[in-house]
Amino acid sequence: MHEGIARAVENVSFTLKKGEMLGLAGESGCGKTTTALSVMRLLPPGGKILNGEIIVDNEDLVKKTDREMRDIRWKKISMVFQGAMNALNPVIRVGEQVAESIVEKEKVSKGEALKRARLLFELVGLDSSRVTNYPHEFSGGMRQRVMIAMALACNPSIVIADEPVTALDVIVQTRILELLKELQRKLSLSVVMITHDLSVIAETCDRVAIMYAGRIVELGNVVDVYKNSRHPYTEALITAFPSIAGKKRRFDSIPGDPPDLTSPPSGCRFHPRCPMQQDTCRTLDPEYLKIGPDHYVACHHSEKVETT
Amino acid sequence: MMQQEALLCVENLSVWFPARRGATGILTREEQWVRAVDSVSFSVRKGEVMCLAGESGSGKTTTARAILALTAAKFGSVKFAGRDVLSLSKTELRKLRCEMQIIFQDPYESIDPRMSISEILAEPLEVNKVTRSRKEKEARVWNALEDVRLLPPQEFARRFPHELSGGQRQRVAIARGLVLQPKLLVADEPVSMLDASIRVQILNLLLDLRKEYDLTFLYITHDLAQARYIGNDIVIMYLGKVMESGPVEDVVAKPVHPYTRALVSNVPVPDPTLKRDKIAVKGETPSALDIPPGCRFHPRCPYAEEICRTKEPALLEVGDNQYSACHFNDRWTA
Repeated sequence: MHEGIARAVENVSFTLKKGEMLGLAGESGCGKTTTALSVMRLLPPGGKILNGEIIVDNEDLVKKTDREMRDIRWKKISMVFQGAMNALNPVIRVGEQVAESIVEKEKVSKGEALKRARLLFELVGLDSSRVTNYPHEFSGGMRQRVMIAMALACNPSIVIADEPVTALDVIVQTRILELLKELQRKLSLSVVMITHDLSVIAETCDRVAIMYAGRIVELGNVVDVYKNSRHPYTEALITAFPSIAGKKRRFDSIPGDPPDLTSPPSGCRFHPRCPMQQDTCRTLDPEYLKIGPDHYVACHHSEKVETT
Repeated sequence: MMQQEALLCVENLSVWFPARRGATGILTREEQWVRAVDSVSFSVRKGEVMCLAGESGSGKTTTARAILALTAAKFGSVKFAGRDVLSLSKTELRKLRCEMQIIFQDPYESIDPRMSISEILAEPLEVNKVTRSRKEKEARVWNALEDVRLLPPQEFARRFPHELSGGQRQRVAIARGLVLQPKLLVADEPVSMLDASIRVQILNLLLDLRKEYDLTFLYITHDLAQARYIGNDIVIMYLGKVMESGPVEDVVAKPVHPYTRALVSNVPVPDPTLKRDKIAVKGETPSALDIPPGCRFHPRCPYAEEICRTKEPALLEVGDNQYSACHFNDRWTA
């Protein structure tokens, strides 16, 4: 690790449509979680939004004071944090932990909050009598339901779910993803799903943004991006993703490692690993261009990249 | 399942851990066991990649540890290159371990951050007293680094783990597995911690090594897509028992056992135009302390009948080298 300023997320632009599920995909360190934490205004100490805007209901969250954010965070935009299901307090009853989180966010009595916790349990498919259980009495899938319940406690319209099914077994994964879909419909939520798993996005999201080294390199509806990708990184990543469907064959891997963001490569950040790199790629940062209805890409060769 | 050219042959392997449950257990001195692995049999041909797959708690890692005699087996036998692993003396076992090596999941945990790469790779040679010659040691370390494509080797040998990326660390862990020139490499979720682009690099590396050295792999994974990419054969475990086994391609394309079918149907695929029906499975995997009688999948099986609750099904051949442990195999293959 080098010391210095890491520009974890740079020039990232996307819109989240009402009622859609948008996937944010990329490898570790590409800036998916940092993007989400910026939206929540919960960047870790030292982290700063240098410029840009985050517009929710015609208001720019970047300009909000911490105090103003309290009326927005959890109430308009909420988040299910990665791995938080394993961070439940083992010695406090699960329902109480949900109630506590409600009391923290809204001025309600403990009793009222507990009542709401029971309703939230039902909403996420848990038996409301289980509010008195301790975390160890819950399976991983059930604990993740609790985290989703907490995120929904103050009726947000936007939910960011960070790796919500990572580390869960596939059968449980399906159930959690189905729950998210169902809640999205029922509560007309707009959801941002962050994951490194391209197959999870393929099966659940309407649109997807692919991030690499702090940038969105491609964005569009899932069918366009997966079937007609126009960025060499997306193309390489998707065609080399092991699957139980399709023909069994050997994939070419992408050479090298993702860059260190304290000293990112010049020009296009993917150029050192890109099979199509040319001089322009080494010197000129590609613009993020609209190349089709709702399909955006940042590559000097976007017109040449075609799915084979 | 016995085959002539089997390098590894596991028969009725059982690993039970003692557990005591509550006050009554102590009073009655009733023995309680966590049956982590229960009568597992399979064999691995020389030069093949055998995948051990299953969800968490299925006993796949414990099976592998018992094969390497890192965990004591309760019953059963493990034959490796004609020798009976479970009855060897300590010295014999130490010798045998040079021929069977293991790679772990987390390259941040499995290699010592205070040792240089050359020290990490030389350690197995020293522990097993392979050679005293410094020159030969160095040569073998460099060879191993070349094998895992950390080039130039003399440059990487000098480095420390913190100077390496996650993918490079896992290459070091693989090199450490190779430095003793083993016949069998057990890989326990070796790419699960790695990013997608690095994952394929490592999987391809393992496939290349297999070809170059005619290595045999026991590949442990929860990910059927990975198993299909790298494996020849697969054993699907559930709660310590083999549910189905056979060539990966067949098991994934036409699974027979209701559990395998549910599992396969729930694996997401990276193609938004493919809409697959997912088979719902009731409830959660029960605890290994409380294994259901009969077929252990019966409480969750959508097709369970009376016999499933009482009688344990045998693992029987259902296709070309494909085996399934279900009372109604005929129904699913008809």
